Amino acid sequence: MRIRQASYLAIVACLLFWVHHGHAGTQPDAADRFTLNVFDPSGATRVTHLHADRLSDLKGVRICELSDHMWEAYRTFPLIRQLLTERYPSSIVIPYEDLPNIYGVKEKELIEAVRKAECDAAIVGNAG
Amino acid sequence: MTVTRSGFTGVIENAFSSRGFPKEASQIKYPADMFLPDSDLSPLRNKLDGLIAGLTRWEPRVTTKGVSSAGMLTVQGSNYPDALTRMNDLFLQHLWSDGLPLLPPTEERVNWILKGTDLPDDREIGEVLPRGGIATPKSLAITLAMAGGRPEYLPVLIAAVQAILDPGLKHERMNTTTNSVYPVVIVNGPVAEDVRLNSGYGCLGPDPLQPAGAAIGRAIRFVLLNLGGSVPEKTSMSIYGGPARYTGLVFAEDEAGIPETWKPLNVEQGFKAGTNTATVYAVSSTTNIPGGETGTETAVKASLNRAAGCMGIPIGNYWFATYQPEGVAGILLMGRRTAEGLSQRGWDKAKVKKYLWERAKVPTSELGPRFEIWWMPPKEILEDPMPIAVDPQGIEIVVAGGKQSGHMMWLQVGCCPKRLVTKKIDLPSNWDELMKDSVGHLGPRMPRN
Repeated sequence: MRIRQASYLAIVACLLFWVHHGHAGTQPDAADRFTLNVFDPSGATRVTHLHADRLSDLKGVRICELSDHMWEAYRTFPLIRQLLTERYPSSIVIPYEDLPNIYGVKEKELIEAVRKAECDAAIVGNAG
Repeated sequence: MTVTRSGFTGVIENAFSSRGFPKEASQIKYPADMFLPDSDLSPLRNKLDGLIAGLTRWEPRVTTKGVSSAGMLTVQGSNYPDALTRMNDLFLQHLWSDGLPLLPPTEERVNWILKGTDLPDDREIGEVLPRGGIATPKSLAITLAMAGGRPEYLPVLIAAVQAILDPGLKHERMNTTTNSVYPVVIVNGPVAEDVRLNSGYGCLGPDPLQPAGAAIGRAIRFVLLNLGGSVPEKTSMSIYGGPARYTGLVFAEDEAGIPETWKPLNVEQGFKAGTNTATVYAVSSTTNIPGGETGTETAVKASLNRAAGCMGIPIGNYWFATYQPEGVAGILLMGRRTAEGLSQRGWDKAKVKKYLWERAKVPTSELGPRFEIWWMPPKEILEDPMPIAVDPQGIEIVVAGGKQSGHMMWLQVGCCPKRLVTKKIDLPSNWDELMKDSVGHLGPRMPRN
């Protein structure tokens, strides 16, 4: 009998809550009653080139270092070179000093230099 | 893949985006301190696997070519002011705002502003670097909507953006340099009065009687920020930026005050008198020069000597101009009375420019080692004293600032334009209707000062 009374009271309480709170859960929250549709101002961009496919492995590959010769490049690149060739002894890393300084070189000249060096990948730096 | 210092990933993303690549790039980030002298290089060892992964396993999110357009955003609130506040918060989170309150770029408001051009909404004006966002009448109307602009401002904004994107202005450098540089837009032709651009008192600042410059200049900043991605510290490395980066400097030449023997700026730039034009340059300061009296020949020379003294200072910005055949060291603004007085005493623009150019030269001994390292010009250009431009034509003079002769203003070149760029302003076929609307909304135009 007590259980039946408790169930009855619970049902009444739920109904009262439902009526009082305006069918909570089926109506928008008070904070969502006004909708403003606006344009994303970042506009459109065009992709004309895709990033190159990654290499499957670094064994036996040639990697070009491309540097702006700044921000301790003379320390960071030799260490990167050392670490890579320790891990992949058959890989060849072309030092940045053997390629044009990326700060100021014409884009076509840089691309041609990388092509001429026959590199499979490039590490570009430093820091920027 | 790139070796990047923490905090510079946005610079790299924009560099890729500006060259037509998807902006997400294979980057490995290291602490900024690692790139300083005597630094600890252990992060290179610790992140070797990450560097190898960047060369072997990194996958771009964008794998197809084409144009990706931004769409609409939905912002909700308890009422309009609440939704507007939330939109302003959202735009700040996305780095699309200058921090001042924005008006909402709703479809209705943007379409209203697009009444200001006959161009198709999607006609490409150019790509704004470094990000490479595509400027179109619609994307510019969105910036004007955010900035509080009106339809009649759109033709001026379109011409100004065309000028900014001209290779002569090198806007990609303006948007990324450490230099604190911003665009100046000088409008000639009857459109200036039509749209309520100030050419007189206070023309470089706020003016409720002639308010167009503020919204047009603010919209230009949104073009550079949102389409160009010129966000401080992420892409724009400008050390100070400057207050003019909020609204630029957008004003009109006081054509009614130009002496008969002098030519307006746009005529000097090759346009017919009376043509509606916007001339753009990249400047880095506004230096007030008290004086400008012309009552006697002695007073004339004293005024010009003061101006030359303010102009002839040993700063590197000038050498961007001295390298260029059409380089301009800056723009000297003078009020109507000063220009009239100079003209009456036989000083035409060419004579004034030559006098200023001769007296604004800087002894090379004052230029210092930074000049030698960074800006040393080719030997055939180097002189002692060093001129601030290749020739006197590299000093531009514009009449603006009201009727008095109390002050002049020097707008000094910033990084790194090659020349002034002027573009014609094309008015839409419904211009008369827009002018009627303008009077209806803002009241009758006040007489120009």
